[in-house]
Amino acid sequence: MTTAGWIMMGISLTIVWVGTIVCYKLILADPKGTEKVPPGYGA
Amino acid sequence: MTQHKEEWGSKLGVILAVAGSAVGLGNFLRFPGQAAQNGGGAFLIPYFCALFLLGIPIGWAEWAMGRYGGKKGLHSAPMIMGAIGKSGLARYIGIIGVLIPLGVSTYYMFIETWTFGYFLKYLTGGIGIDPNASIEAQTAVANAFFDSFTGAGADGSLFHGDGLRTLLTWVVVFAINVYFVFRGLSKGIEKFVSFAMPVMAVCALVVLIRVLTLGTPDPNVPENNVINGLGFMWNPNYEKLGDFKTWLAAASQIFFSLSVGFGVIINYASYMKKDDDVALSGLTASATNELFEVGFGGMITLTAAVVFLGLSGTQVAVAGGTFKLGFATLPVVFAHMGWFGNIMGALWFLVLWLAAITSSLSMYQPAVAHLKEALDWSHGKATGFIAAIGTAGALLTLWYSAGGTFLNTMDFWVGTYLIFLLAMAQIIYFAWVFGIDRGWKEIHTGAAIQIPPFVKIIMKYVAPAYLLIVFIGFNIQSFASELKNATATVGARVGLATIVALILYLVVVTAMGEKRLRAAGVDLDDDKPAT
Repeated sequence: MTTAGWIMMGISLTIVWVGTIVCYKLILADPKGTEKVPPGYGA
Repeated sequence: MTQHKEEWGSKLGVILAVAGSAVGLGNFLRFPGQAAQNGGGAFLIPYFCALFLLGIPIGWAEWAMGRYGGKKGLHSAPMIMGAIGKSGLARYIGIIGVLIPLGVSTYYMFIETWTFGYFLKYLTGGIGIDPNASIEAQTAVANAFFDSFTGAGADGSLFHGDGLRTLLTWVVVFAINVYFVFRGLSKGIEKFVSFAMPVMAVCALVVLIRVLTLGTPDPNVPENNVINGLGFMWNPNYEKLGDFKTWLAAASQIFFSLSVGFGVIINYASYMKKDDDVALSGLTASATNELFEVGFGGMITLTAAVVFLGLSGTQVAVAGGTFKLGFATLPVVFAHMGWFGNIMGALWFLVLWLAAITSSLSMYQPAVAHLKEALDWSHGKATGFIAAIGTAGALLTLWYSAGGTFLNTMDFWVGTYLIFLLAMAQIIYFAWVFGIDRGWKEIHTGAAIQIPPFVKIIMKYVAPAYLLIVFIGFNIQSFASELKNATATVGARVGLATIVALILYLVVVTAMGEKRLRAAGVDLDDDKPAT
């Protein structure tokens, strides 16, 4: 594994892991994110 | 309309459902192969360009169009596209949004059957590879099992003898799919993906940790180690960036991986509430897909292959294609893992099966919604009818198994070509007919995030131009040869005939639906914009 390989891997993994964690933090922080529809209203 | 109003149980539910639809076999098998063949780590440069310039912006447009359609009480791609594009042409182009998932389901559940069948085999002792035999002998056993299980030997071979186990496995897989679609959005699809996605993530994490801790299993071959395995995938070859094919491959990978232009997002988003956040939901679903693709797919598959098969063996495996890599090469890798091999194999194929079923579950829903909306059918009746169409298509896939002629024809024309076409139509209608300013406002209604303004320019100019270039390149590269392939064998011709039959069916149903909905006073041409 070359230094450039480590760098490419590091940057790529940082983008996807940090991106995913930040998105889910925002979703879960929003009360509407996990709000449930009243029973009987869904399919 | 007489049906119950369908809606997602929670915002997280729709995100996981869309992410589940996007995460599939391509994340774990196709992506690493594409990266390795197109510059390794350098491939990630055009890949992320395509993600940010193409995948995410078009995805936002599709989410916004779907939710807008839902505000007007519309849930099928033809009716929503008709309202967004304010024309009959847009409505009939929207048919592609039902054709793609329905057409792809005919063969996708067959591939899903392989993953489930392999999972069951590994739970009960593996596929019979002798760990002490030579690599060549082991590969021969793995290939023989794969050919037998997939009916590669002869058309119709899955309908007798050993092939019946595949047929029976398909029946189980098909029944599971139909059951959850029949249960409906929140009680069926959402409930399943809310369980399956975390399980898939945990299993993939276990497999990843095991692969990264393999070290150098054979001291006699020190170059076959984890670091070299990672290097095979990630060492960049920047020269490849000058090749148009690399950019084409990256755009294609992003495109098919995110499920944009597939017809599912537009349908799923139509069941959201009018102030639900489509901006963050779309971004989160894309991020989840990327985590599985780059974070797991990019780290597991080729690393494990290099550790046990070496660089040359892995290069041969990658050149053999996605299916051979996943179903013939990796079983040889598992055979080298000692007592842990069967557990690893079971976990791996469980991950692949969950990835596949969370995708296949989304494929009937657009067609079911289309029937319910157009003909005012009940959910049960529509599901039953679509399941019957799916069964007929699947039986053709199962019958024409030698060389996968039916499967390959459907995969190219429906699962590849039409996706480009629909995505192009969607972004052009959204940005140029619905209007980018109105669309921008629509995306931000109820949004927890503010999208940077330059994305507006990307949506209006860059994404359509990017798609057009890729589409033209795609045509130049593949159209003539694929057309020739599509008429070369009986299975391929049956595949083409099936596509034509599905188009005719969808045109008739859409025309009937248009007539019925207009009579009911539904605003199909968006004369009165929804708020």
